[in-house]
Amino acid sequence: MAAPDLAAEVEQRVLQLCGEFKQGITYQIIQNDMPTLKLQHIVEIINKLLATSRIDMLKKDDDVLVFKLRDPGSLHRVKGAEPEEQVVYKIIEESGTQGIWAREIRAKSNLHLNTVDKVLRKLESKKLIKSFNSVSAPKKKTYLLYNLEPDRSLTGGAWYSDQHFDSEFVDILNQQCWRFLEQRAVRARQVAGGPIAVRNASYVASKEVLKHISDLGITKVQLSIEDIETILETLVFDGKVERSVASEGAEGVKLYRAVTGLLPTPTLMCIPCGVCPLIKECDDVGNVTPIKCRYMKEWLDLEW
Amino acid sequence: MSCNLQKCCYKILNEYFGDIVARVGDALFQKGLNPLKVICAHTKLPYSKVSEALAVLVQHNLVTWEEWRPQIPGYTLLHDRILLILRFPRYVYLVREQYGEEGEMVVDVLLKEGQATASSIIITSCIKLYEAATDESAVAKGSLEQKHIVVRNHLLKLIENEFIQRCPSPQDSSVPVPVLSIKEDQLYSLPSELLDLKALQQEIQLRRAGNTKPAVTHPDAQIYWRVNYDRFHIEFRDSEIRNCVVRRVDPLAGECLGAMLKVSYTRSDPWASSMNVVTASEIRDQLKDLKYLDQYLKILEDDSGGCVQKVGDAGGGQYRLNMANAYETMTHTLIDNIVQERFGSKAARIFRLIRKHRMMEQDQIGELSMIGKKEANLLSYRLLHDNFLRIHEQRKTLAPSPANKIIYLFHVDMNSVVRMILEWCYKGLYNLMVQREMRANYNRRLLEKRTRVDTIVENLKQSGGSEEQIQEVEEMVTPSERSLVEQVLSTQDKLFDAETGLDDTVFILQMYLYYQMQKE
Ligand code: SF4
Repeated sequence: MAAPDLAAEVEQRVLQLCGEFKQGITYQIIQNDMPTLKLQHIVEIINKLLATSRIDMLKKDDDVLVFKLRDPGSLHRVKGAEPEEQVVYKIIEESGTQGIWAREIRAKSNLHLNTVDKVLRKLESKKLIKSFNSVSAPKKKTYLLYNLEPDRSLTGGAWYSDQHFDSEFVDILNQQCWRFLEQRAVRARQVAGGPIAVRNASYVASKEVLKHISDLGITKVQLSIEDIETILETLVFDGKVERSVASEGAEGVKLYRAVTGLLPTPTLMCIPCGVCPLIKECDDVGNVTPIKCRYMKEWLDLEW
Repeated sequence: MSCNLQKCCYKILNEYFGDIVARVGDALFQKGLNPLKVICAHTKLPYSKVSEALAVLVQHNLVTWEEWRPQIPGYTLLHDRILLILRFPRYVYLVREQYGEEGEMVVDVLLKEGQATASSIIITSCIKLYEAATDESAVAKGSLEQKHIVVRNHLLKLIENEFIQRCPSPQDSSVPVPVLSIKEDQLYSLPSELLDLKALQQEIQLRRAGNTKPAVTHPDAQIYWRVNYDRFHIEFRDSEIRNCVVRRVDPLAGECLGAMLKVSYTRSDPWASSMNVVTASEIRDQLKDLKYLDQYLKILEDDSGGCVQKVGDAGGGQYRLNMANAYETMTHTLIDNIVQERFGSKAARIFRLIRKHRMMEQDQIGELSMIGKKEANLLSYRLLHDNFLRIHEQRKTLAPSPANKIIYLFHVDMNSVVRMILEWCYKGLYNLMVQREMRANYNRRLLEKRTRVDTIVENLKQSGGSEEQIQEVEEMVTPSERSLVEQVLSTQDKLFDAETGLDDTVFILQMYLYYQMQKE
């Protein structure tokens, strides 16, 4: 632990920095400003400032944490409001991008459910908060501050449109990714230099797949590497693709390649009985018998 | 014991040996080990018929006996062997590939006979080969004269390579229930003094001259031979794996695996789930001109479904072949394919996902498979309903309380799925056979007419009938009949091919179950 006066000094400096950079500061900025300070100390100070609500912590798109002076205005806006409103607002604010359900607000605020409902409606009409339905519990309303975007885990990320899982979109991506990998594998067979070279040539990094998919222009949403890897994983589960990991610098890169199945379609599935919905009922007597079978007849008379 | 298998066996026996044998076989299938009298009572057939039928079954290695009560034999049906009858074309084909026409004929004759003496195998094969060769004047006469020696050599080779083995014989044939046995070293050796080449040639000539029962005695009259199915199955098993590798990688990888198998067999029991270690340099000796052997070994290690395992670095790398793994992977692929065809690719994804994770909760399935929650649920429950998935209830504590939610975990019980698919295969086989029989019966008159006309034409041609005569006879079959015959024959072929194909699936699944049993 740093000496108390030093801590106070650093605290001041951090606040000052926040004041200077209106769009917020990162660890990097603090570190550059006070190079002698250890990261651990910075974390301590930041935590303290967060705990006393002097600054806010936000996450940028690229996962970098950003700190901002707490906008006094936000409290301001509810200032004139009734104490219930203030309490509820605060609770919602604390829940951040995760949002919170009315029921939980009631539990935390000790207010009557009716009151909570009323307050929520009021705040909503003042455009201080907003509600939305999360994909995991579509029936329940989740509240969060008006200017925040709900967390990915609630919206479901790229795969959801209007809280509905967009399975068509996923299917298309699944097919396109496979086609891409498959083309690569076909081309790889021409590579000279032994089977390992062939195999290596058939591997594609997830980054490259992402680029290909973006270039195709089939998606309006910007997909991340993780998104595309999720799709590629489905191909792995389809048994069509294999994953491997290579190291590029310090990081591991996921590589994928199309593979052929070990066996062709089994004959059982090429005869009507294999795909027959009635196989359990089919017997020598009764209405479903191999002799009367329509499927058999169609299959055998197919070429004539 | 499954009723589908029973029906299959009945159909096969019926097709190959007729109704009475089939009924006796069926009775034995249902009742298990039983003496003659009980079989008679059960089938309501006379004594003599049943014993005849049993003799046929014994002759074809489909029934064994043991002492049931003192002095009374009881008979058991080897139902697995009956299914092997469907595999006969494959056996014959394999020998043809490896040993040519003469070898093929030897195995073909032996399969039809069940058990036969070496001399009768050679004689029958030779006569058939002569018959096949008559139209081709290209075959020099001289080589035909020596055919029996060529055939004998092939027989010897087949015995030496254990495709054919000697039948056990009774030690003491005076007792009512003789016990069959054979010494280990006699199984695969045919002593040369047992074959009298002169007598063979004599008999062949006599028979060709039209004498059906020549009185030539052969020294090996008491020594019978039969096909060693297991040896064939080793070949099938290996070629299945090799085919997989060829599909996955390329033909050279298949060759590489073939060489590994060859070296492995010199030092391991071919039926062990995991073979003894071979080194890269030994494989190199087998494959002198393969350019990228080391690379192929590496690839096989990753891509052979667990068949090739690296166990050390000595001798340029030590490898072990694990057949049990290979068949496990193959069976997984097979079942995946089946799920895919039957329920669609999304269901297959779910199925594979659950198999890989062993146990899975409903919510996880939807998330990882990237299938909408509703659809994922629907598909999992369809798979559950059709017994591809099982459900496992998990409670946190045993005490029932509303807060204590029950967790439902999906999982795959592979062995039971495999058994179920096997049942389906049997059922499919049966249905195909029923269909084939029905269609043949339905068109019997037509087919018979066709055969009749064909024989007449053939005879006319041989006896030098004029073009006109031949044409006249041929016109007895109208064009529409002709095309119908074509159609019937082609459907028969299609059904037959499907039966053989199904047997292939059966083979893989049986191998899987065999290795699973070894594990326990
Ligand atoms: S015979 Fe027909 S009804 Fe019976 S299982 Fe086969 S396809 Fe289905």
